[in-house]
Amino acid sequence: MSNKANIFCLWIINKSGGLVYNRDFVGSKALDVNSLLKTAGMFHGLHAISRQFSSNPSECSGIQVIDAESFKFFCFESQSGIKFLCSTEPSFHSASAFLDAVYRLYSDYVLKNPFYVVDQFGIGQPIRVERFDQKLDILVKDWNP
Amino acid sequence: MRNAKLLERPIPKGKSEVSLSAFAFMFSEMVQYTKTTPSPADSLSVWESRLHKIGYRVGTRVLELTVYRSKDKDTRETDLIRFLTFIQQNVWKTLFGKQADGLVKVAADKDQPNDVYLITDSDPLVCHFVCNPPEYKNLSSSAFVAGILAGILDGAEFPAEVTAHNKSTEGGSTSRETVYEIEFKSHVLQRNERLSK
Repeated sequence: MSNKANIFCLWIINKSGGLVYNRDFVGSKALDVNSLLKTAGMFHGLHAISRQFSSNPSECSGIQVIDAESFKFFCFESQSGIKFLCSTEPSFHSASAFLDAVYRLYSDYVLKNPFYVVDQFGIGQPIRVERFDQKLDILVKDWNP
Repeated sequence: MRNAKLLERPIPKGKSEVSLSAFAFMFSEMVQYTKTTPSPADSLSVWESRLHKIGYRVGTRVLELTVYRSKDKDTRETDLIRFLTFIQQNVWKTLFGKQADGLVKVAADKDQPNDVYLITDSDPLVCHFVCNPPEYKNLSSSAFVAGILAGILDGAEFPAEVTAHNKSTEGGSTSRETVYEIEFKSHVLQRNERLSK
């Protein structure tokens, strides 16, 4: 059957647990900004704690998939500690290709942008790069038929 | 002792390519550096002129290298149009791996007493990853390339003022096309007319 992959939203959390980017692709009723930040921080904490459930915590990757009835939630953590999270349609197999592509876009259009400051006075800065948004739109169009 | 051997090696022939990512990170640092050193830039034109200065130093060296590697390294180009074509094709190819998209002459009229030449590039490689935030909307990081062109033209005895204009900053379109406007000093144009007669 058709690969009806629908990506609902994308979050990016920096390595200290702060939400630096959130984007919604299907117009769902988003939480307000403060709740979003709190939820992201909670997930960051849960992700760290979840490693302890494994028999070998140092080799455990933490939460990667959350399977629910109306959606599936994927988390990809890069070597630098940045987490890319997305929620998709429940029939979606694996978002690793999608999150890989987002990671590539992030390292290209955000990190190589001279105007983006990763960290100011110890506080992670939100990503406000127009080109990143545009490229992300194009990528998601490929994945959302 | 190893360093001495390095200087005795011949200049490598042919193309040498550099990773775009590596250059992009260095260029990103360059843009941030020129904003604050030697003093915080108080206007966009000061910022751009600093990038221009760095490009100038690159330009003089690129000219020597490109001429050395080109087929007729023994003759010096004295014709204006031929030299601009040389820039559009050979120099662009050395720097960016492709030729510049266009070379246009804008004839003199009542607003400008001299002819102006434009070199267009539809997507400058140098600022491929740069996206201006709203507060620095009109900053043109291609000022670096304009500086390279100015260095090349000065080194070849065609002194000119080169400025970079982005279509994306003026008029709000999303095209990344950049136009390098070359305004030669009057004596260069007069000399060219004299020589072509």
